[in-house]
Amino acid sequence: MQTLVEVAPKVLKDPTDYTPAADFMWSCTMALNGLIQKGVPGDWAVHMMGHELTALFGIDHARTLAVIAPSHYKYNFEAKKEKLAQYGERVWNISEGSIDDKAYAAIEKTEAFFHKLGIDTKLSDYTKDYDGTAEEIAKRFTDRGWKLGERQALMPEDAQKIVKMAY
Amino acid sequence: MNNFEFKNPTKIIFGKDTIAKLESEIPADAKVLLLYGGGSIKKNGIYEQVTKALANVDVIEFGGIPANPEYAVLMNALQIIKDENITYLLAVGGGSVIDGTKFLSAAAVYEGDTPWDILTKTIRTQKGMPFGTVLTLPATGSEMNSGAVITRAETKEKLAMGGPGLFPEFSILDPQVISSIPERQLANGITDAFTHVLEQYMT
Repeated sequence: MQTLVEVAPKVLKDPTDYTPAADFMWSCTMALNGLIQKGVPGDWAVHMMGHELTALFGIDHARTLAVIAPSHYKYNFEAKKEKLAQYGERVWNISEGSIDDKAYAAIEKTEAFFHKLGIDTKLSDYTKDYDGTAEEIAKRFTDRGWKLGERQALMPEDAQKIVKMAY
Repeated sequence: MNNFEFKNPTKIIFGKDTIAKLESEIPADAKVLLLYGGGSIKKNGIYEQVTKALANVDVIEFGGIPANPEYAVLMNALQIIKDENITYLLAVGGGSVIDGTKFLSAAAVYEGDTPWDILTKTIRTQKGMPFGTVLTLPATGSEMNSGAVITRAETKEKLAMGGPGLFPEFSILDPQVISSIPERQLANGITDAFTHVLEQYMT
């Protein structure tokens, strides 16, 4: 993550610069080759909700993740705040405040990072027809019998609220 | 830490001017289906590098795999695989082309009537048709994992699939390929990789 934060402006400014390009390319591979998720449960709820936004509106995959992630972490704040705070300390150098403060600041920093890349983080930035999206996604998850998250604790009605927060 | 097993058989060939190494990775007697996307590889020199490396191999091409690989398009490719007795798949592209190729790797050996069932019934592929990749857009990590996500416009569905038989045999990563990628897609790639880590970290 630190590598991505570090090389992002360089890669965007000059993609012919080999060293940041190589760091970026290998970081992308390492981010999802199975290694870093060993020994811990994975969440993937952001992806599952994001996939629906691509299926319904054709929004770029990465952008759907940026739309859902901030709402997902705010909605599940109590369950995830310790990890969010640790991430805030390590990746964003947040050293001030309580666990809650650090965790909240980490979400803000993440969203700001996406904005800096030119990535909008609200569904309404991508479509005017967002009304009813949360209900439709909850219905699809219900029909498929899906529960999300690392503990399978997120029900379709939770997904509905998270998507609505992302409008 | 939970107990785990880890196996990742994909050979990574990383670095400058590595696309030429395709030649030694694909079996000489293979009949290859070369899969790609919208055709940008024909403008940025990657296509020439690939075809040059494959000069001595029997190759058929299938272009036009869209972003969010579409089931209907992939079914056309599947028909070619069967009609032409293809034995090896080569994805030259980003996550969409690679994921589409994984679907074809699974569908080529699938014995059921409706390949869409691989997605809706979560059928895991133990051994698919062998394939390799030349990565042209860093983002998804698909070049070194065994998962794929396939879209079906007809039903507005986007579903995931996977299985231990769907790792690429090799992936060639030449960072020079990003020099012609539009800024929007570079930003997407950074966001995608960053969120992949978030999803594994925030648990």
